[in-house]
Amino acid sequence: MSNTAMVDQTQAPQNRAASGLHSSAGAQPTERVDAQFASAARHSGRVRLLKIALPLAALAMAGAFAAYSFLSSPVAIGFDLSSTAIRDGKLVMAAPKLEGYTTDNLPYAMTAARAVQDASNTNVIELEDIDATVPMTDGTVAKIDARKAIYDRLSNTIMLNDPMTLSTDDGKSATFQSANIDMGKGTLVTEQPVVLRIKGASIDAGKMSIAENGKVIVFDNRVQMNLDPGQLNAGRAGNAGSQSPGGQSNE
Amino acid sequence: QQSQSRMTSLNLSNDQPIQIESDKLEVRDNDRQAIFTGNVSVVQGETLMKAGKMTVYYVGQAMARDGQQKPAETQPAAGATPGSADIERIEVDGKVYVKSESQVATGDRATFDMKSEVLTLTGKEVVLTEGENVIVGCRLNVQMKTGQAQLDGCGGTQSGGRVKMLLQPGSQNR
Repeated sequence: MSNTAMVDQTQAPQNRAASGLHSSAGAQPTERVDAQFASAARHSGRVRLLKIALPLAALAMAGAFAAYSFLSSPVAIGFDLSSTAIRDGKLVMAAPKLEGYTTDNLPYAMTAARAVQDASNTNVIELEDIDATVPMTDGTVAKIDARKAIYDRLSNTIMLNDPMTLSTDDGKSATFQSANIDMGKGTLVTEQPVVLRIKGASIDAGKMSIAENGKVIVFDNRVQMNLDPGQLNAGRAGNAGSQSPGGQSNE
Repeated sequence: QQSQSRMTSLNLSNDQPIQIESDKLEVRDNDRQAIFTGNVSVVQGETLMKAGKMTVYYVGQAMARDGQQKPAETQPAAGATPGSADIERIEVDGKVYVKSESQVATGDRATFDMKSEVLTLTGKEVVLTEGENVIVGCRLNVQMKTGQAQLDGCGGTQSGGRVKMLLQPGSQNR
């Protein structure tokens, strides 16, 4: 039942009392909308509401950016081991530095206080106090700060059982208490609360899972979204710059 | 036939903060949909809406993708920067309850059409209550900008549907 077209059936309005409840004759109920109002509603071309619409999707983007920043899988991995020691069968690297390029040839870098590798399974590297910078598709750079992460080269996964925050220089941030990231499958799953913020909007959820490299995001266990349309519009007007359609007609 | 009254409804155009809660939210970027399910509630100032499910349809890029820009992007004006997605329409299902300062409206389904800025509440029984006045019909249209509300009876093919109105004496001159 599509009811979107219904406003356009405008007919010349009969004259009727301005307010108060009354019924106007009409064989069967047709949608009669005052002509001036209908035309007023249309005059702003791209309807003002559309321009300052609630960009729920922008918030979803905050979730997606978390996934994307992790899942832009590094192509080349260079490991710089400034000093390596072997202690009780474990390879301990101090201040490892990892640099590489993402699939779109943008540099990323990661440093950690320590990296520990069990001699018996060199595919798994445990990293502590991680700081990373990962380029985002929209040109911003995401800083990642995680207390501890376990990177498995074989399964191409990263497991975090400790808090991790991602933030970008334009005010986006995502805080996880834990996360399992599968770079191969392009998924990120956290069973614990997650908090996402962009300027003017935030999502808090009990848990979250991201699939298909951010194309599908599910927030669960009670979701709360707070939106500040004023700030959101300011943000959009800012980056929309000249191309904001219809200009800023403030009624 | 219809009856008209004034109702401040969820008005996305003013700058009052909005709070949305639900059990679950699924964002499907390919389908350009954000689906809130389970005890959905939307609060903005005095206005409150509750429902079982709310689906937001948006246009434009929720997330700028590198190099996978679909060639015939329908709305280039939406801009490629992420977050510049605009909402086209919101559909609400599963027992809809809308309360503004003075009025409560309930129905089965509601649609917010952002282009026409009209909220349409439909159902077997759409009930609009203001104080003690209760009006029952099948379709409530609210112009979101002005709040002008129009309740249509359950006309259509069967007998000319009448808007049932229960006016409490003495309440008109409130």
